[in-house]
Amino acid sequence: MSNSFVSPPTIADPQTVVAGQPISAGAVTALGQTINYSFARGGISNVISQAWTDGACSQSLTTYQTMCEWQLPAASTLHQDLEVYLLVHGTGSIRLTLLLGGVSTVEEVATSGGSEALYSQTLSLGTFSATFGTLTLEAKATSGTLRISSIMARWAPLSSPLPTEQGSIVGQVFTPMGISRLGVEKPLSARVGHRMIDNITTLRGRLRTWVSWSAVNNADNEGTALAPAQWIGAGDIHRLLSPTHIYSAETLPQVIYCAIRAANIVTDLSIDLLGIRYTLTINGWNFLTLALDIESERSSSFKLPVYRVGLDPSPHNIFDTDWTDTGDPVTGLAAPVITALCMWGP
Amino acid sequence: MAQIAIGALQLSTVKLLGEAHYHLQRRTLFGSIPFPGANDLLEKGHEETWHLLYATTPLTEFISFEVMYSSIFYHDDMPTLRVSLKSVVGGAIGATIDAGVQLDAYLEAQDSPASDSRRIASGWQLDRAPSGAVSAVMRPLYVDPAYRGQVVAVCVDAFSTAVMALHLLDIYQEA
Repeated sequence: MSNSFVSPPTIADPQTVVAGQPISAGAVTALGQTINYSFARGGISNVISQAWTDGACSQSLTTYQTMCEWQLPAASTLHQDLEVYLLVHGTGSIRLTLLLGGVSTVEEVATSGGSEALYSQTLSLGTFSATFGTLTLEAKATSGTLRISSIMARWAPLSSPLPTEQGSIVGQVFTPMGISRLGVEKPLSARVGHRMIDNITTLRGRLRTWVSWSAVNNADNEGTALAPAQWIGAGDIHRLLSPTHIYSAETLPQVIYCAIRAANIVTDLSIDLLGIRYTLTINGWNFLTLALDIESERSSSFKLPVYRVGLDPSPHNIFDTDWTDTGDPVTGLAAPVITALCMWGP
Repeated sequence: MAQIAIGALQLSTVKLLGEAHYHLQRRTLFGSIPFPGANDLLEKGHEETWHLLYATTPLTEFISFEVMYSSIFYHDDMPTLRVSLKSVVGGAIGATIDAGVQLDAYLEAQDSPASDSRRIASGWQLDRAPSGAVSAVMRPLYVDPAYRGQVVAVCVDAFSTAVMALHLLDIYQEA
């Protein structure tokens, strides 16, 4: 019973705990279990999602080539296993490196066969405290050409009962609810209510992945008319806008995180993001914290306000950046460019 | 206690559902797609298939989706787009969970030149399991209880159509 939960949860009906009603142990137990469930499995969805048209992400060299790198958010400090799924065609190996705050793990996936197949690999970390980390993909072919069609990653959901220790989500503490302490004939202390409120507040901060895009480096066809994307072009900006729903009661305040990997910066690179112009000065990963300074769409497609997040399709981003240039066929575009873009929000 | 109950309810059934945003990277010109709206030239008879994995939650029931695409109508090639849901079993993409939607004449009306990509969304109007047949109009995908909480595959089959992005959002169910 300790720190346990049922999945899917039995939801406590708020009508059973309004003023004037006796508070039953059943409702309180269900609340504790729902909070434990939410920590273990709630919102555990894709943290990396990217796909390539056939052959755009391909490798024929027989030594490992670093091809892609993404930033990703931790689900919590107790979610330590990352499941990575790859759809791959060809015979070779893929090496995945996960790094969170100085703690890392490396796994290799061997692929074989002449048709597309699904491979999965779990990367298990030790104890870590960081909120964000990187996943690096290297690939090599044994013979012929290795073609990667898509990649997806999620944190492995936790099973019941939760560990007997506190976890952390974006730096906020989560304390698992001891279910046996919420049963019949047990006192309903102020501490229990306080902890539930704190846990709900912490869980509201769990980040959802809105954009996870990486360029492909060192691939076949690099520098040719059939090259994979090596940087964001002006034509990608509209395609990288993600619709995401934000519950209307929570639209403010919002902290949105953005990681941008830049290259070729000599002095700086300025970009428009969610209505604000930012200046990047570092080659490599730049980290931004943003506010939700854009209007929602009155979308009839969803039941919630929909915000379209990503690089703004502004004249500055499309034209002033020189990303409308096709670049040099051999050396790549000399202008400052973005080689990875990842965004998350609560 | 009522406020805690409402908070936990909103958290588990609305906020902490699943979502995924796939950017389907197409071939480029020397390393980037330089022009807004630029797209692969679609030859007559063009076909493409995408298998995109999606991590559902135990409370995922209906998945709303939005597709960004560009289609072209040749003399006897009608742009067609099908979105369906399949299981992932034993490390392979398996049986169909929801036959989903197949748009042809509907999509033709949305025919877009290569320089003007379009978005089409499933909407959220579905509150019971579909019949199992392919729908000719847009609707969300349905996840059978046996597959909730698992990784599933959203399959996109396109004819005379180039798909550039797929966005998946769990639909919350009103209390």
